[in-house]
Amino acid sequence: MVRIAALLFVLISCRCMAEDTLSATVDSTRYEFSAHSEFFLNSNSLNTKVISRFYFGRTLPQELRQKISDRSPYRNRAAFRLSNGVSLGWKTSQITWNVGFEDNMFSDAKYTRDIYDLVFLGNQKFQGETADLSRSGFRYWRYEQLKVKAAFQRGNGVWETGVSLISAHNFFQLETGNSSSLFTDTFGIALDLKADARMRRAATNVLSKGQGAAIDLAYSFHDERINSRVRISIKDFGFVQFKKNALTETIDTVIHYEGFELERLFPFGDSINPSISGDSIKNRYVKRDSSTFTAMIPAMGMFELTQQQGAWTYTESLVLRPFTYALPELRFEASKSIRKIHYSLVGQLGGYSYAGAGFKVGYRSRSTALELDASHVEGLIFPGLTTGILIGLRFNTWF
Amino acid sequence: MRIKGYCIVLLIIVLHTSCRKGKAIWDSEYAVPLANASLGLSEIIPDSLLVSNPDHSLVLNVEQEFYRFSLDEIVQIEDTSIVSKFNFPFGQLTLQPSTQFLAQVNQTKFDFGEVSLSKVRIKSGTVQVKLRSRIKERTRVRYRIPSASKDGVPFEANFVVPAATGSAPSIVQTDFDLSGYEFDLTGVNHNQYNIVHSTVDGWVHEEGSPVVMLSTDTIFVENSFVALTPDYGKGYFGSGNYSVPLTTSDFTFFKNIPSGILDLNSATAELVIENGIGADARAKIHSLKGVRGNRSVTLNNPVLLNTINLNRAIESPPVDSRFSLMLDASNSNIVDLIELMPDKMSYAIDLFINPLGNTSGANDFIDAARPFTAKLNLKIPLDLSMSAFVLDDTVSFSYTETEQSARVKKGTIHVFTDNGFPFEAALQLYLLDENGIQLDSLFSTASVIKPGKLDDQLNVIENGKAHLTLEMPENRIELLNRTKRIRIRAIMNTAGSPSLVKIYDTYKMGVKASAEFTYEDRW
Repeated sequence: MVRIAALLFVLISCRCMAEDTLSATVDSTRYEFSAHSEFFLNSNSLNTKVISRFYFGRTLPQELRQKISDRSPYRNRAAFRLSNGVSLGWKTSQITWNVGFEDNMFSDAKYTRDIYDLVFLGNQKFQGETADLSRSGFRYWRYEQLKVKAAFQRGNGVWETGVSLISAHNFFQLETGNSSSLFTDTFGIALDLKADARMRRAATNVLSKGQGAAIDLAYSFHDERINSRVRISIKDFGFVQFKKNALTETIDTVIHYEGFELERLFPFGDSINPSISGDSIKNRYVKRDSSTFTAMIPAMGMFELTQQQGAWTYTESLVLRPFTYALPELRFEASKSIRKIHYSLVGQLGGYSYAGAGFKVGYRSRSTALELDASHVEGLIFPGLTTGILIGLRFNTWF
Repeated sequence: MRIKGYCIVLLIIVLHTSCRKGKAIWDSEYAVPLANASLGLSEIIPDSLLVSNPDHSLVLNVEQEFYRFSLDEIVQIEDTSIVSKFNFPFGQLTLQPSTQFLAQVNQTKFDFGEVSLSKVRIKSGTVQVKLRSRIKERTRVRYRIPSASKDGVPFEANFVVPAATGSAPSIVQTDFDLSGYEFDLTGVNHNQYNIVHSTVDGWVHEEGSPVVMLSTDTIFVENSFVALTPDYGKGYFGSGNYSVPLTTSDFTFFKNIPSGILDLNSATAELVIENGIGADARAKIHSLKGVRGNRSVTLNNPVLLNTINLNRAIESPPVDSRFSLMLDASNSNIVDLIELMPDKMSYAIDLFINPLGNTSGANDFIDAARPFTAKLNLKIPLDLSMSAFVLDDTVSFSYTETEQSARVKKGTIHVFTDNGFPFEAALQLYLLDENGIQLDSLFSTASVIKPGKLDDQLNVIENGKAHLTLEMPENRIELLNRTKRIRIRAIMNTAGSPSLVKIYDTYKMGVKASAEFTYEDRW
């Protein structure tokens, strides 16, 4: 029943407010204050059940982990994003200004099914086989942005520009190369690790680990030939330079391991003490560099077409997310307003998953607007099947 | 479940934090290598015992001492105490600060029986000095042993003795370590033996007040030598008999072989008697017998019945006096004795020190590092046959449970052997607690390491391969925490038995061990 109710709710939904555009609603006599919060979680193989168990520190049953493995494609992706922000907008005679502050936490990963199996099931199932560890990565970001944006009209089109200063609080990235693999011999008698990987992380001994800058740029116009509004944009195209004492570790080697070399059979130095230290292996093969490095922050490029057909507005978008592990994404959105209520139906293909769906709903009065963005709800409706969740809240007020 | 999903997400949004609420837990199945080795015989038994012949066949060299005559049998220092009393002889006199009132020389004689020592070096022991004063003012007392020095510095101890109050004397007592001190025992005039020369001096403390000394004002000085053990002595050790009646000593080389049949092609032994003492010696071995349980083999050789004279050793440069007798199948039954695999040697020996009296002018010496010994140096060519040859040894084991190791739930240990030796070994491992009580055996039945395959010349032409499996269920892993020792028991048989096979230094046994186990991951 809950599933049916949720689906019905989606079907009656319609558009509220456009995502991520500079507000065009600021008039020249009032200021606009806006606050938003967004939580995003998605994967093409993990499901909400396992992620919630993982998050809350509970036991992950064997059948749940095995089920995910069985359903996983060869290459997998997952992402998590949490962002909160406030902004203040106002309009002068020609330009709409907006100053905002945003806190972002972002993590994404791409990995082979073999990596999932190694982590969640172990290497015993790979006896006599090679686990593919190649072209995989994990990335974690925590940064804050101070943004200044301006929008103005030139001829038929509207230009939107922005620049932001970034302070990064945390960064970690681990990526494997094309040849990374792990061969497990029968009964685990030997391991052959082809290690081709790089790890980068911010310094741990300072609060602000790196600074950087990014730009936003968008242009939109109405194309009479196709009776559509076209918008092309790039958001958060920028970098962070991490301070000294950041750490880069690289490894590019082949390790054949058959256990400890026993030099004697008896009397084992007169004592048997089974202890393991991984540090010596790490020190032997890993190169370390603690100088500064630069990393590009997750960006987003978008091409949008918006058509008005009767009471409905249709938007089709192609979304690219450079400097992340996401695939290109197609979005479809149909929206409608009934008096002060706005509804949207949202569908999506690609990105971090195969497909997803959701809705947006909002209310707007003369001085206040409130929007619930639930563009991905499939992970809530089918928690044992998929994991797509996007829940956002946006509040605007004019004064 | 879906309602719960909504709640989770809403909670996450509300909490607005990256902090996870705990570590997720799951069991993974791992297969990892543990150890590997390529073991020649020199990696199985100490390589100092092995010698390779030009044809790569191996000879086992075993040195087994069965008799040792050392310093403490000649010189034993009994605990000795001397009490000196001082009282003022003049009835009554006022002494000013810094005035010396006591200057006493003591000579203590150690009782060494017939032994007269001029010098002794102390390995361990203390001198305890106790002062008891009835003087009504602080005094300063110096205790010295001018004849005892360490690194050239004579022994000296200084005390401040508090003033006596009322009728109670003030007492000061201190123990001093004499390790490493060399004592000149020739007395004040250097013409005596076994004498320790010490002095006691006393003053009124320089920061004290003038004090009236009465004839009843006494000061007692008690010095006691406690538990002195020397490691060097010099003098005349007397002319004496130190005979040892029939006694046994451990023959450690075979102690880990509780049973079995060993058949050797040949073996030799060298009986060596070494005199590291600076005194002439005359020895006679009455009986030399290998013993295992209730079986024994008496070594037969006519020379053994003779008296053996050994000259005194030279102190510097150090040269010991040595007697050697080669024993082989032609002049003795040494092969029978070795095949018995004795765990004890039984012997009786007469030892006479300085049979001709004091011929050194009291310059005999004995050093703990250079004793008088008798030993057998066995040479056993590894051309042999073993049958039900049991090797039983116990090694200490410490399993320190770490956070990681505690998360291993159960598993299986695999041991793969690739045996190039011409013998098989049926192996069993026992877990023992701290009291030696057996907790468990690791193999359900003894697992056999298969022997190499032999050709017509009894040389190994193909390694024997075996896979030993050791199950480690949860309860056995828990037992590892209580395990303090592991007993290893191997029953060995040579291939082609009863034919004798040679062991070559080229023979190797490959061992690879791995584990399949369930591990509790937490992340």
